[in-house]
Amino acid sequence: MKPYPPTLKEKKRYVLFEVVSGRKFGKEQVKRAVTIAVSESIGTIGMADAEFAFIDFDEKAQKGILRCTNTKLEQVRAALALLSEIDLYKAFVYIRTVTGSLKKATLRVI
Amino acid sequence: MREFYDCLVFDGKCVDFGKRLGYHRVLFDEVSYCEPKSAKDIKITRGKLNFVRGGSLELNQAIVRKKGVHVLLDPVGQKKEFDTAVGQIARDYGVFIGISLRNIIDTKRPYRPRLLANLSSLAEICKKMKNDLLIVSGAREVYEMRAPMDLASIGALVGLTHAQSLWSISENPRALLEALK
Repeated sequence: MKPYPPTLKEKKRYVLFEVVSGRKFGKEQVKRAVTIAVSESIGTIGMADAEFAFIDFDEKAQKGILRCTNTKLEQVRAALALLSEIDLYKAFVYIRTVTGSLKKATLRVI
Repeated sequence: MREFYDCLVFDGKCVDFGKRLGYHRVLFDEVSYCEPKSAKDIKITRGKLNFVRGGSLELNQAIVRKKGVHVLLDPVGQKKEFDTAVGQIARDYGVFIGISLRNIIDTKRPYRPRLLANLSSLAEICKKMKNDLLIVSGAREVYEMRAPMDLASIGALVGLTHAQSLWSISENPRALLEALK
């Protein structure tokens, strides 16, 4: 089978975010909270359209990386803005930057 | 470079924190806020930006007609309490229409879709009637604040274009502050 040419592939965006709160959270807690927040806002089908994925979270720096398509970036951003608590503790997600490659996003987490 | 403003916060700590998030200015002391139950309860403070929270259709009409009101905040809730007539009066009297992020966050799961639908309808009317829109955080504490681009993304959620959303957190607040001088 002939592979898709790059022009037909969805362009991905990697969202580097930071969790701001009075306490530190684990990877699973943040993953659950972020996924539920995005799912509540754009729905399961929207998440599939956005090719949403939780890539990684650094518990020490409280920074993580998400992936979505460039067309759904604004919706994912809005969904993250509506997140107001993680495991009943007040917190918010601050989007530090958006990159086009995972390598650049990973470098900025470190 | 574009300068971003958050026009309504309820905690002094938010002013410094807002600057760390990238705002040019966060308004706390310069703002007066009231939540009237009826037209008689509308309070106006001289020398400050008067934000008045909306309610029923009649109350919204009374608010935009009241002299000294600068912003009609959250005119819609679970019902569509904003129509083209109110929009036209607001434009004629130079009253801005405000959307607060706090209102969306405080409205939980079963009621949020209805609120967002009503906000979309509000944004559509504001576009049609050429009303000036503001997006504010309305934060009561620092954890309720959001970065400027995140606040602008709320505009995308209610059907504004990216440029209109950015305009409502940068140029419109600036125009509002100039009106105060």
